[in-house]
Amino acid sequence: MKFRNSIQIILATSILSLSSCNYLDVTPDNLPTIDNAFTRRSEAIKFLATCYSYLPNDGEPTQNVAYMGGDELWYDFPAVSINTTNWNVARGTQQVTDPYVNYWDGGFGAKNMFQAIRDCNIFLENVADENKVRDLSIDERTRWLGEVEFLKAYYHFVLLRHYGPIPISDESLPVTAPIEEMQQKRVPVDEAFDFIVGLLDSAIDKLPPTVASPVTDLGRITKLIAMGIKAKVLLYAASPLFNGNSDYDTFTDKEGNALFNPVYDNSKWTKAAEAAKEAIDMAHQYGVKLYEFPGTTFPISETTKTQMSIRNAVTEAWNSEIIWGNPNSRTWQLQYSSMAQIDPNNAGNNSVHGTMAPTIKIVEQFYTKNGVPIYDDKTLDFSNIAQLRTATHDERFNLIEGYQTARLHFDREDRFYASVGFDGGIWFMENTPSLSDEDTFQAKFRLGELGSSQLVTITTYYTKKLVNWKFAFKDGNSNHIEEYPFPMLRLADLYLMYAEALNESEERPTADVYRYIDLVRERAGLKGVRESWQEFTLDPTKPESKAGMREIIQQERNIELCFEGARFWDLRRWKLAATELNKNITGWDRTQDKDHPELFYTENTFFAQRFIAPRDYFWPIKESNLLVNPNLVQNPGW
Amino acid sequence: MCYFSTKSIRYMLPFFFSTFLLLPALRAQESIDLSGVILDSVSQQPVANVSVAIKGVHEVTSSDHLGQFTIGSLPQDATLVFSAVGYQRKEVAVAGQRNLIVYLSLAELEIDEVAVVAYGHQRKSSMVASITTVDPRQLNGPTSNLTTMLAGKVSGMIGYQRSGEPGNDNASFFIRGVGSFGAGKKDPLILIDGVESSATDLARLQPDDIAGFSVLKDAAASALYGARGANGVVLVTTKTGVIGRAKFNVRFENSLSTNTRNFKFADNITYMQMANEAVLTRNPEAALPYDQNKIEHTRNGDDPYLYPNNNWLDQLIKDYTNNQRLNFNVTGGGNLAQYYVAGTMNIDHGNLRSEKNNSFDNNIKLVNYSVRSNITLNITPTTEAFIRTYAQFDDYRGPIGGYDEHGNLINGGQRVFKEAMWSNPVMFPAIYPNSFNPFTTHPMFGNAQIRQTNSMYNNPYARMVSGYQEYNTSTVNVQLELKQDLGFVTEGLSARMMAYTQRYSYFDLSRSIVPFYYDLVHIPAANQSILNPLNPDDGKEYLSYDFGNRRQNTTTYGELALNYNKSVGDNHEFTGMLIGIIRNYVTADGGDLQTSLPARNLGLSGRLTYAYKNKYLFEGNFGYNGSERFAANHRFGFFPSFGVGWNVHEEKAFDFMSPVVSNLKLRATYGVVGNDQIGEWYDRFFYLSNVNPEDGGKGFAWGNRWDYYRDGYSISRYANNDITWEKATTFDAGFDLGLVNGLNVIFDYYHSIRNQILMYRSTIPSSMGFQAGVQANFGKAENRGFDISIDYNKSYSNSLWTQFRANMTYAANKLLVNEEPEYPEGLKHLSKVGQPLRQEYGLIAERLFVDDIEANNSPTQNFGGLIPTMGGDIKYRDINGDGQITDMDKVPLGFPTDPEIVYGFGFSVGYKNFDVSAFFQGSARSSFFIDPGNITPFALNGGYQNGLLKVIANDYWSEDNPNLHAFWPRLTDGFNNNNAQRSNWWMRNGAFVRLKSVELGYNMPQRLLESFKISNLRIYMSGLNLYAWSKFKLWDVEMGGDGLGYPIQAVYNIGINVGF
Repeated sequence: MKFRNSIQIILATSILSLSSCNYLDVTPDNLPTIDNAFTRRSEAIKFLATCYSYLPNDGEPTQNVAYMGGDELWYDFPAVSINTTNWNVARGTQQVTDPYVNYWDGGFGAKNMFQAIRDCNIFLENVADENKVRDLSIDERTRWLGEVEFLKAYYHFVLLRHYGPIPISDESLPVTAPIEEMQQKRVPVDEAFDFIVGLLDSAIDKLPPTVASPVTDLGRITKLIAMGIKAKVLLYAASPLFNGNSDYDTFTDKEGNALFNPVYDNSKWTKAAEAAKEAIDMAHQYGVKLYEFPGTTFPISETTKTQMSIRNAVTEAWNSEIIWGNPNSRTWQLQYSSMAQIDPNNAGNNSVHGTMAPTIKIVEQFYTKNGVPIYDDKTLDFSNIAQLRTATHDERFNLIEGYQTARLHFDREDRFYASVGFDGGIWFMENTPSLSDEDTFQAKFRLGELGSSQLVTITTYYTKKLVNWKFAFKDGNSNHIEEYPFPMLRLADLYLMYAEALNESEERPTADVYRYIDLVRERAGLKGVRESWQEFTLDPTKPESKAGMREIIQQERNIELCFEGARFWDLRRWKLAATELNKNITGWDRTQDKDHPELFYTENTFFAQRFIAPRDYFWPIKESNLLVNPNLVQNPGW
Repeated sequence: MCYFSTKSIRYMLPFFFSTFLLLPALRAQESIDLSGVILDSVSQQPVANVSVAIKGVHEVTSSDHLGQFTIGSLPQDATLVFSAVGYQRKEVAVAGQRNLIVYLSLAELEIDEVAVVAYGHQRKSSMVASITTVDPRQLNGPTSNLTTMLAGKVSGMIGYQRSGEPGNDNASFFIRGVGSFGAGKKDPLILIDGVESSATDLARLQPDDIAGFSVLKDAAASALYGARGANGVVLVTTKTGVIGRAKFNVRFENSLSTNTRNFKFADNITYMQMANEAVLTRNPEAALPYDQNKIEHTRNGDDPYLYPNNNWLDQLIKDYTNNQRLNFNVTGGGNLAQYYVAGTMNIDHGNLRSEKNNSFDNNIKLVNYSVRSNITLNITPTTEAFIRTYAQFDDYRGPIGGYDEHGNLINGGQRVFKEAMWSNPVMFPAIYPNSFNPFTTHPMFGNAQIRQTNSMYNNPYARMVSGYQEYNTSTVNVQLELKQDLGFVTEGLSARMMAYTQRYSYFDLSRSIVPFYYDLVHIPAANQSILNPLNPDDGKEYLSYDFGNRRQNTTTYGELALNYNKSVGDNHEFTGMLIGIIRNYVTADGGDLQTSLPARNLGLSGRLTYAYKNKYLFEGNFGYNGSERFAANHRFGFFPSFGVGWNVHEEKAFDFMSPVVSNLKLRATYGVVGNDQIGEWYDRFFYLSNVNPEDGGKGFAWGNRWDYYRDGYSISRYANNDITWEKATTFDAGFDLGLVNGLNVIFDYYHSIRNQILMYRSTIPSSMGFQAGVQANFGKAENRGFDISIDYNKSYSNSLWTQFRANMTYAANKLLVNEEPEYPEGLKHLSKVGQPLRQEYGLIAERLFVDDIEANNSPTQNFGGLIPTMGGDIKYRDINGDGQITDMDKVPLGFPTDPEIVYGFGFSVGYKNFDVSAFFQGSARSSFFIDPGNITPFALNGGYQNGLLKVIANDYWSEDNPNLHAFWPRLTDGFNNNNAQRSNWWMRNGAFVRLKSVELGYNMPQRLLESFKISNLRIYMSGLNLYAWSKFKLWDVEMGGDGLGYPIQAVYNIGINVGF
C-alpha cells in the first residue's frame, strides 16, 4: 500500500508540473540584448566602437582595392606571400556572380557597408533618446552623435564611390517590416551627395575641433576630419565622373528616373573649393602643418632630410600633417609587402616579402630634380630610360656610388628617391650601421646580389615610401615592423584638393591655386610650378591656363599621394581611367643576373590592361541582389 | 520480500512443479512415458527452457540445456504445446510416440506476436501503424558498428556510410529519407530501452543483446513522441533475464580489415613531367619546377634520398589490420529476480603505419567496452521492477586530427588519407635513415623549402608519426522502471513509471613532438651530399601536450503511464494508454550563455485502440508536447493521429483464400507529428535575440598607441516570437500478406507533407544591413514513396532449409514552398520549388574548349579569376543567354545526393550442421560530385601540394591529345576555379550494389558437445563489404564526393560462439 501511495504522489506531481509552463521557461531575464548597449556609458561606448569598426581597412593591401585594382602596383602570378584575389579588378576579370571588393554585401576584404549603416542608425536612434544611457553627459552625447553621423555619411560615401547611385538608409527598419518597404531603390547621385553632405554638416556642428585626450581619443572623428571629408565628398561631386557625365544619360531606375544628372554645374567646384579652404583654415588654426623631418641623433644630409620628410609624412604615427589616421588599420601587411632585403648583416633573413611592385609608368611619373615631368625637361634627356649610367659620389645619398643602373633612376626629384625602392638605390633606415646616411643600406636587386636569394618583385621596384624607417631585420629570421595608423587624410591631400577645385571653379588659375600646390612642392624640395615650368620646359606658359594647371595638379597629386590609395580613385573621378588603365604594365627583367645589367634593364611587358568604359567606372552589383530586390537596377555594362 | 537467493529458487522450482503441476497427470489412463529433444528449426540447435504443456491442462515441464525433456504417464492421445521466448508456439500430437524431435521456428515468422511500439508492446495482428520490426540476428555482422548494418536490412530506412575510420564510421540513416530541408535535426529519434540515445550509442549496441528492434515510420506509430517523432523513431529493447539456471553465451571474433578501394597515384616520372607541362601549357615562358636531371635520376632510382620517389599511400597505409570482438552474456534467475548481464569488448585498429623510432604508436586503436545489467524483480505478485544499468566506454588513440578542405575539424585517420593526396611526392623522402647522421637523437624527416617562400612542404609521414591523440568517452545510463498491475482497482488497469539519467563525458588531448626536417643537398664539387637541417631551432625532441576538447552532458527523464486493457465479451477489445513525460538536458560546453541553458520537454500522450472480433481495428493517438525553444504562445503543440485496419483473413467471406493465404491485413493511418529541433543547434531560443556584447570582431582601438580598445556588439539572431514547430502530416497505407507456403510481404505506401519548415528569409535585400538572417516557418516539402519487405522460408526436410528475404525503400522528396525571389521568365530554372531537397545545382558543362579562340569568343567565363580561360578548359552553357556564365546559369543536376532507393536482398541455406548466407545491399538514384579542388594535381595550398591521380595522368586534355571529353581539363599549375565550378562534368552516379555480408557457419553436432557440457558451439567465417558493383572506380562509391577520406573497410572474419 505504501507503493500505491508513492504512485499517487508521483502522478500528482507530474500532472502539476505538466500544467505549469514554467518548467519550459528556462531563459533568465537578463540575457544580453541590444538594449543593454544603451543602458550605461561604458556599454554604449562599445556600440560606438562597433560603428567605427566598419571603417574600411585601407592600410591593408589585400583589402584596399586601390593597391590591387589599378596600375600603380603589380604582383607576381601566382602570388607569393600575399592574397591577390582583388588583383582581379586590375586584370579586368571582375564579375557579377560574386564581385571582388564587395562593399554592398561584404566580401573580398570589403566590409558590409549596409550593416555598418544599420548599426549607425541604431546608435543614433538610441543615443538621441536622452532617456537612454542616462550617465552620458549632454556634451559627450552630442559629440558621439556627431561622430556616428560622420561615420554614417562616410559609409554612404564609400558605397557611392563604388556604385554610383545607391539606396539611402536613414533609419533602421525592423526585421518585421514589410518586404515592399525593404526593397529600396537606388537614388540619383546628386541626391546621394546631398544626403551625405547634409549628414556631414550636421556632424560638423556637433563635433569638437580636435581631440582633447590623445592617449584615449586619437582616431576619434573630429570637426576637422569631418570638414576634410566633406571637402573630399564635394570634390567627388564636382568631378567629371559625377558632374555632367553624359555616359550615363540613359541610366535610369525601373521607373525611368535618371540616376545621373547630365548637366554640368560649375558651382559644384566652387562648393568643393570653399569646403577645402574652410578645412585648411581650420587645420592651420589647430596647428596641423606639412610634416618636416626634425633630424636624428646623428647628422644627415639635406637630401636625406627632405626624403625623410616625405616618407614620415605618411609613415610616422600621428605626425603633424595627419588629419585623419585610422588606428584600427595599422599597415602591418602593407610594410611586410613593401620591404626589400637590404640588410647585409641579416642577408639570409627572409622574414618579409616585398611583393608590391610599382610599375615603370609610375616610376616615370615622378618629376626630374627640376620639378617637371621627365619628358618635358629640356635640360635632361630621358629618351632612353634603360641606358646604363654609373652613379657618382655627388649622387651617393640617392644612388650607390659606382654602381651601374638605369638612366631612369638619375636626376629625379626627392619624392622618387623617397617613395621607390630600386636596383642601385640607397635605402636609408634608422638602424643604418654607419650611423650616417653615407655608406648606408643599399638596394641591389639583380640576381646574385645581396637580398636576391629570393626573387625580387615582378618589376624590380619596391614601395619604399610605405615602410616606416624604424623597420629592422632581427636575428632568428624575424623583424620589427613599426606600425602606424593608415593616413586616411593628410594636409597635403587637402592642399591639392583645394588647388584642383579652385582651378576648376575659376576661369583661370588664381594665386591660391599656385600657392597651395607650391607648398606641397616646397616640402618635396622643389621650386614653384610657374618657376619650374618657366625655367625647365619648352612649354613655359602651361601653368597659366586652366587646362594646363589641371594636368599639372593631377600629376602633382599622383606623385605626392602615390602608393597611398589615391590614384585608383582619382583616375576614375577624372574620367581618365579609360585612357590610363588601357596601357601596358611593364617592369625590368628580374631574371637576369648581376653581371648583365644591360639585360636586366630590358623593359618587359607583363600585362595589357583593359578598362571598359563606362562599365568599369562603377562596380557591378552582385547579380543575386537584383533578383532579391526587383527595384534594383544593375550598373550599365554589367 | 526483498530477500532471495538463487539457491532458494532452485529448491522451489522442482517443488512447485512436482507438487502442483504434475498432480493432474497422475489421473490419466493408458499413459506412456515420453522423451524428446527440441531443436531450432534453422540452426538445429537444442533450445533450452521451452515450456512443455499438455494442451488444455498446464505446463508440465521444460527443456533442459540440451533441449531435452521427459514426461511420464502421458495420455496417448495428448497434444503437447511447446512455447519459448523468441519462438513460435507449436502443438504436437503425441499419437503414441515415445520419442519426439520437435523443431521450433523463430518467432519473427510468427504472425501473432508482439512488436515494440511507442511506450510499450502491441500484438502485431492488432497493429495498424507502419512499423518495421527487425530480427536482431539479421543485424549481426563482423563489425563493431551496428549502424553500418542497417541499410538494406530495415525496410523504410535510407542509409549510407561515408567513412570506415574506427570511431568515425557511423553510417548516416534516415527513416523514409530526409523530409525537411531546415538546418535542424533530420535523423530519427533513437530510443534504447526508452533512453534517448545517439547514433554512436546505437552503433555500439550488440545484436546479441537486442530483444526487439522496431522502426516507427508513420504518424500513428510516432505521434506519441509528438514533438520529436517527425523524423521517425528507432526503438530498441534489450534482453531481460529468463528464469532458469545461468546460461552463458560467448562470442569471439577476429577479423582482418582492409580498405575496399584506394585511390591510385600515377608514377612520379609522369608526375614531374606533367607538373612541367602544367606550367608550360599556361605560360610557355615560365620556369619549370623539375629539371631533366632530376627526372632522369628519379627514373634511374640511383639515389632515393637525393631524388626521392614516394608513393605516400604505400608509405602511410598498411594493407590490412586485425580487429577483435568479444561479447559475453549470462542470463538466469528465479521467480523473484531474473538477470541479463552482458559485457562487450571491441578492439579496432586503423590501417596506418607507425614509426619504429618512436616510443609511441600513432596508429588508430579504438577500444570500446560496455557492460549491461538488466535486472527484473517481482516485488509483489502485481509489481515488477526493472533496473537497467548500461555503461559504455570508448578509449581511442590515433594520429592527431586536422582540418579538411572546408576548414572543418576532422579525425586523424581521415587526415592521413587526405594528406597522402595533398603532399608532394618527389621533393623529399619521408625520413632519412640514422646512418646519415648517427649522432642525432631524433628521427630525421625529409623536407624542402617551397620556392620563393620561407615555408616548407607538408611531409605527411612526419605529420602522421609525430604525435598522437587520445580521447575517452563514457556513457552511463541508470534506469528504473516499475510496473504495477492495478487490477485491484479495476480489471485491466496497470501503471508504469520509468525514470533514467544519462551521463556522457568526452575529452581528448594530444601529445606531439615537433619534427626535425632535413634536406639532402648535393655538392658537386665535393661529389657528396650533406644533410642540411631545415628547422634546427623549431624542432623539439620532447613531447608537448595539447589540451583538447571537453564535452559533458546529462539527461534526466521521467515518464508515468497508465495502461488499460479491456475485453467486452469475445468481440470487443479496448486498450488505452495515457503517458506523461518530462525531460531535462544540460550540457557543459554550450559555448555561449544561451546554449548553456537546459533543454527541456514536457509531454502528455495517449493511445486508444479498439478491435472488433480482431477483424476491424481502430487506433487513435495524440501527443501534446512542449519545448523550451519557443515563445510562450507556441510552446505546446498538439499532434493527433489515427488509423484503421482490417484483418481480411478473419472474414468468413474470404475463407476461400485460406488454402493459400494465411494472413492478410489492410491498414491505413493519418496523422501529424512535430519536430522542435529545428534550426542550427545553437539557435536555442527563437523568441530571443542573440547578442554578443563582447565581440572582438566589432571592436575598435583608439588612442595614440591604439590601446584604448573597446569590444563591439554583434547580433547573431533577431528575436521572433512566431517561430514554432515543424510539422509532418503523414498518410500511410499498406498491407501485410502471409502465404501458407511461407512467403510474407509487407508493403507500405506513404505520403507526407512537412510544413512550417524553418528557413532563412532570402527575399530580404542585403541593403537592409541585417547581421543575421531572419528566419521563419516558411518552407514546405513533400515526401512520398513506398517500402516493401519480402521473406520466404522453406524447409525441405529435417536437414535442408532455405530462407530468402528482400526489402526495398523508395523515398522521394520534393520542395513545395521555398523562400526565394520571384524568378523572372528565363530564370525559372533557378527555382528550387518542385525539386528534391538535396538536389545539387550547377552549370552544364558541354565539353572542353577546342582552343583559345573558342574560349575567347564564347560567353564570358570569369571564374578563373587571374587564370585566363583557354582551350582545354571546361565550356559551360549560357542558359539564360546573357553572354556570361554566372550563377544564373545553374540548373538542377542529376539525382539528389542522398539515394532515393535503398534495397537489400539475401538468402540463407542450411544443410545439416552447415549453413551459408549472403546479403547484398544497394542504393540507387543518387548523384555525387567529385571535388576537383581536392585532386587538382600540383596545386599548392600552404605546404600542401597535391599528388597526381592515375586517372588524371591517363586521361587529360593536352595540346598533344586535345580530347574534348577527357576526364581532366587542361592542366594548371595550381587550382583552376573555372574548371572547379560545380557542374555535371564532375557529377557521378552514386548507384551501387554491394556484397554486404557473407557468412559460412558450422554448428558442432550435439553428441560431440555433450561431454563438454556445452549447449551449442558455432564456428563461422564471415565477410563484410566484399565487393561492390559500380561504374565509379576512383574510390569506394559509397563515400560519395569525399573520396579522400578513410575508406570503407572490407572485413574477413572468423568467429566462434559458445553457449553453456
